[in-house]
Amino acid sequence: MFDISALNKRYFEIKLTAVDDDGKEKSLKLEVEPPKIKVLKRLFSIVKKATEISKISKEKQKNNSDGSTEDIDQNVVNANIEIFNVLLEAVQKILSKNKSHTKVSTEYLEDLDLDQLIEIVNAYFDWLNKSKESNPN
Amino acid sequence: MAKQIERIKPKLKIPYAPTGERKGHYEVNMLEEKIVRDYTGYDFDRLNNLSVFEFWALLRDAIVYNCKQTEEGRKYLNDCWLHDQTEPDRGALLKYFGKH
Repeated sequence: MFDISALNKRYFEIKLTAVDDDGKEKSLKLEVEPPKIKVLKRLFSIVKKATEISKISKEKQKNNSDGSTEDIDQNVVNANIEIFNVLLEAVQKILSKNKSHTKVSTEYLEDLDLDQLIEIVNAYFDWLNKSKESNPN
Repeated sequence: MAKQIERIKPKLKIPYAPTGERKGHYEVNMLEEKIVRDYTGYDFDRLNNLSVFEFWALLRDAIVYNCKQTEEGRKYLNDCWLHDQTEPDRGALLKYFGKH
């Protein structure tokens, strides 16, 4: 009989760093578990939403080429904040399911910038894809 | 001494070979879930709570199993295997063309 619990687990390893109030740098190593199907679907929809916001923002920039640069800048800032919040939700979801059941405190996440969030999400999806392809037929 | 559970790393990659068939105008949103549901008997709720690697392992098995049931399916699996090969079959080439 095929026993699903006998499957060898694979983990996504990630190291987060944060600076505490005394200026000391501390780090947190996590072994993130693969997501459940329903979480993966949610992650896809979150990333899709972030992509759509980015696309709309770029179109607005294009259409507002006659407008003042201040309006354009404000639109870009607003879109980036929205994308940041959406991706932060995705990263929190990804990291919360780890091997040691460590709760990732916000101090590790609040210092991340948009590029770092995008990198984490990309690396996570790359890991999923490579794990799938690494043991071919 | 406690008996250690044998851990296995199942294959996850779904066999694929281009067939040139048109997809049609409509696609089923949850086709993969349906294939695994039919194969395992799990309901959709239980499938959604599987880890992606467990789901992919079952999906691969379901597709291979289903293909093996028909002649056309077995041919497709053979095409998939050929599609995946990156190294020449030296033995077959030697046999076909001779040693010189």
